[in-house]
Amino acid sequence: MRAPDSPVAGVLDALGQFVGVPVAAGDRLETDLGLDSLELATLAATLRDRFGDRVDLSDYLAGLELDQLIELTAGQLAAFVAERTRE
Amino acid sequence: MSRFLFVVPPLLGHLRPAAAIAAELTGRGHQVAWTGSLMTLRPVLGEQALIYKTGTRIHRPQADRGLASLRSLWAEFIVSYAKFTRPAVTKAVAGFEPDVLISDQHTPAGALVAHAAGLPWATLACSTIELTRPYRQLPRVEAWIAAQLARICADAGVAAGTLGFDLRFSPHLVLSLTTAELAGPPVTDAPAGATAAVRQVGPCFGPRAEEPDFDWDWLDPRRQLVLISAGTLAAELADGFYRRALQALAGAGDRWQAVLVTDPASLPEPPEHVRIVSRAPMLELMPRLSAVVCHGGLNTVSEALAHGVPLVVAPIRHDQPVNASLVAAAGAGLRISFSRFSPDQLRDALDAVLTQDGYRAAAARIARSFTAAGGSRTAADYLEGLANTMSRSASRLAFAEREAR
Repeated sequence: MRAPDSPVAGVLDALGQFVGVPVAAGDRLETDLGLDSLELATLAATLRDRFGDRVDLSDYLAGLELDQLIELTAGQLAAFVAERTRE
Repeated sequence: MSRFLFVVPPLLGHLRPAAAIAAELTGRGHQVAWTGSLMTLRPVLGEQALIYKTGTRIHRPQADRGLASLRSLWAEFIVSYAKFTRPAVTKAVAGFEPDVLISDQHTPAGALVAHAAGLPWATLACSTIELTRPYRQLPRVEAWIAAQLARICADAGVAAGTLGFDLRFSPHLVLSLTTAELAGPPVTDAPAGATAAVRQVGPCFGPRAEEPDFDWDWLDPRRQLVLISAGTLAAELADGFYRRALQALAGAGDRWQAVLVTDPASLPEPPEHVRIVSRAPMLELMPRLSAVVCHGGLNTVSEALAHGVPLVVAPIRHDQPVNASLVAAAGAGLRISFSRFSPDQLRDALDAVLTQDGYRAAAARIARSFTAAGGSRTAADYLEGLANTMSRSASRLAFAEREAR
């Protein structure tokens, strides 16, 4: 069982604060949450402040194909942050 | 006198500025013809226009946003439309024998045909998306666009690498319908040198079709007038937008009047200080407006800025997020999230652009840059220049060939 301050819960919380509504892991960032690529840049800064320099969202997004970016979910983003903060 | 052939998509936002430039050219005694969808072009261009029809393949209004709209624009429209219309454009060139071809940036059939025929051609950039490089942080998205361009070339039997130019950028002339004051200098993901021929001529406004009636007596000079228009939106998107807008306006009847441009039947009866009209006399209203709320289509943004009117922009797709950011960065307005803005956020944003002087001053600065850029007149100057240079060099070449014999 996940601790409440686990990276995954933390990312969903950070996203929820960012968009102003509760966010579920299955929500797609663009289609469901209405985040555009410009807002993702702002989100990248928010996540770095909260989770540290190793969480480089721009670097992660730069590696994704167009189709993957369109389908990108809050849960995938959380998994990326979890992986980068695990040591 | 020269002949100019316009190759355009069936999209109103692209047709209006093209028609404005064409009107300037015909006013100077030149001949203009068009290729495109007869059904879409005829009502905008009028009965007199010479149209070589390509057949109609309507790009249906989409409900998708952001990157999903980028994908459908290319995969479902630009690529297939180029393939579908190329034979008709080739026929139009043979029939009209233009001196110069003008190819909209999103109908590259024009570029392919002009190149194959050895015609001088210009690109018409009606959108900011190809000239601001919004996906520079997403290299695989830029690579995907390059692959679509390669597909268009392959469909035409051309190896993309042998063209020597990017289909979106004529090496002779690219007319960009904005100014550096708003959009900055042009930047692109196309190979180096692609922007060398870009000329920022500013927005091109032409004579509009008959303006609809309006209840001018309703206007109250003691209150600030706001126009709210989201253009041609898929109904399910528009509905929520206008409902939230109505809520944002609810308590402001003592300070503001607002005109909402949408189907009046789609919304509840508005309060006294709000009018809902299906069409608004935009040009007559503009000088009286204190702010415009829109989704950031370049034509509406440019019309507002040309009148020094600040904006609140809630962008959805294509170049709208870019335009919203350009407006905000220039200080001429504010950007809000189309999907997520609350009535309170819209009211606060409107209150800011209506009461703080900086926004109007920045909009006025951009208006001056538009005037200086010259719009349709400057665009026509460049196109005439292209026709003259090319016909001179063509006749020199013919002369040299005769001499050689």
